[in-house]
Amino acid sequence: MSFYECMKLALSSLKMNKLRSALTLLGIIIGIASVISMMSIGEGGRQLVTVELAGLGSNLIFVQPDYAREAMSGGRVKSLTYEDAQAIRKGCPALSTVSVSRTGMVTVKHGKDRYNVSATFTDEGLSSTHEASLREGRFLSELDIKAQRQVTIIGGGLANKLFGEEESAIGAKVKVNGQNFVVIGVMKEQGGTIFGENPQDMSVYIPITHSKRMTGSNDVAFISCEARDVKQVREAMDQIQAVLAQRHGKDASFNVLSSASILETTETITRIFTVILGGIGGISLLVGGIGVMNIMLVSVTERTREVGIRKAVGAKKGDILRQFLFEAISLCLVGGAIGIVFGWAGATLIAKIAKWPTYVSLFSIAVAVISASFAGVVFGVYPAYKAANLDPIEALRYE
Amino acid sequence: MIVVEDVEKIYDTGIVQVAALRGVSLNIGSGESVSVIGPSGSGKSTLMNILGCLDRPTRGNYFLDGRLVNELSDDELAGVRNKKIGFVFQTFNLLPRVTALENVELPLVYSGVQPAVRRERALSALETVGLGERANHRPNELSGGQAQRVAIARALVTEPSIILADEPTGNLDTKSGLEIIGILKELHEQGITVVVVTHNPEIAAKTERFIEIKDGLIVREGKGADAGKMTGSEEGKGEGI
Repeated sequence: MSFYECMKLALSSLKMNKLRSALTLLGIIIGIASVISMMSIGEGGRQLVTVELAGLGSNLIFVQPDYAREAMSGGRVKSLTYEDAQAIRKGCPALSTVSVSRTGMVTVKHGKDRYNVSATFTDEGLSSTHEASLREGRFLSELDIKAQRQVTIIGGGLANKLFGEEESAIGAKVKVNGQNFVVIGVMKEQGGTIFGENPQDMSVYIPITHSKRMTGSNDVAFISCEARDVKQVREAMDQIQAVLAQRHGKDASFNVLSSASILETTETITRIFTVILGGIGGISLLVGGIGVMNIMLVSVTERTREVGIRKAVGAKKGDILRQFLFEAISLCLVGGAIGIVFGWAGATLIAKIAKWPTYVSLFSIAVAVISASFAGVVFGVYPAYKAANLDPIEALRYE
Repeated sequence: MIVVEDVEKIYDTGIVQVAALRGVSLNIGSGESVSVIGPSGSGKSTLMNILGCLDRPTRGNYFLDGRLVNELSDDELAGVRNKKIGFVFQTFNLLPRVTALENVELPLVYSGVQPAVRRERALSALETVGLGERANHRPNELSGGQAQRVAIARALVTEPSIILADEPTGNLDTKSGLEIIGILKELHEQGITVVVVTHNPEIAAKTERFIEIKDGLIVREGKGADAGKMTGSEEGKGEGI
């Protein structure tokens, strides 16, 4: 029997039981659609993170305490402080900027309005990157830090709530944790996220020299630095290590990471994330596939006599095997094709509603097509094998 | 062309072994018409299955056109069924969801005949049995007699050397039954070997030769016309008393 005839026979058999075939199809459609949409969510997220990280520039260096070592040895980790950042700034000529931040929650009050917001305690190092995101005013200067000026830069969302969208907030006085601060800058609004309001729009920047008093510590989670040139990244990293070793002793271990290595790690992590999401979709494909197998087994039993007749007139085992296998495969392929469309639509819908970027890659479509045909073979082969090996006499007698 | 030598068929049910055939030998020449008669459970269906290459003997040899059938693989048997044998069953055994024409085409599908040629040959086989106009009807739109004629057309379409008919009139009224027997007789006259399994002596009488089977053994053979006379020696004695 030719390929074309096998296909024709398979499709006509499926048409005989329209409702049943449609329901079986649905299992595969849902399976493939979820593989596609899950993978596209993961892939979209991956691209978003990667693009954002790449946008930071390839000459960035991050310094952070070695948390992994702490977790493994159980010992206390050496923490980084603002003083470390200052030492790095002085002792590393290969760096152009060094910025440091520490976050904490503060209460911001203006008149009767009162908000609990996240505060970023930082210094003038951030100004080079944040200056551009200002809606009005200026960012922190070196003098603000040194003189411990009571100044703050507030998020656009917070500014709107406290002062209205029309009013300028510059020069206004707000109370941060009960102390008077002057607003010197307002950040641009970032817009909402899937979780609603962007918390960045509601945050404030405060000179890091207030950190100890307001949060009880001036430890920082990380110090971010920028090398003067991409070629000097290696040199700068060595300089940073030298400064840290001088300040904390040779045993102190800090992670000094370049943006290239961070990008690499992030890509790996987000790729795993995509695979896990795809795997979750894969589970529903598995369930759909089992549905196909189930229906094919029922179908073989129902059509035992048909198998007997076909065998009596000369069908070989392979002919019967192919007939049933093609039915299972066509179910999975048709389901797969519809599933791709639905998955694509689903991914687009998620992108629209949740504002989460999705990306339907050719890779995810290939995965879907391959898994659909694979499902067809895997879940079709046993019922088909069963049919092919029916004894013709028994099969003819079957009522 | 059919040579059966001391064939035994034993079904192993796991608990007991049942001997359906206990040493049957027979020859059927090319172009003969033979009936196999006997009560149910006598082993005539088993013999039919072996002759039709649906089953293999446990012991003994079966030569079909000089070829030893016992040792053929399942797929080789399927090939023999496809090319040399045409089956006509008591229950017609047509595929219910396809047309008469497609049913007749079925054996040709498995022998790899091109669709256009297949259609043509199937149609001419249907015309042979007088059903050319019913080609596009489904089995449930046909009467029993018509369905059995479709089955005969299906048996004919591969131009087999033997047609094996297992109780071909068992599910038909007398008139349709006679028509079917008439067609089988015509086929025989065209030179096809026809073997009919039946319990009806009247049908056996229409064949050239009959073979009577009882308890897995051949108990009587003779001219078809004599099939209706005293069957089996014991019954003969009973009648005599």
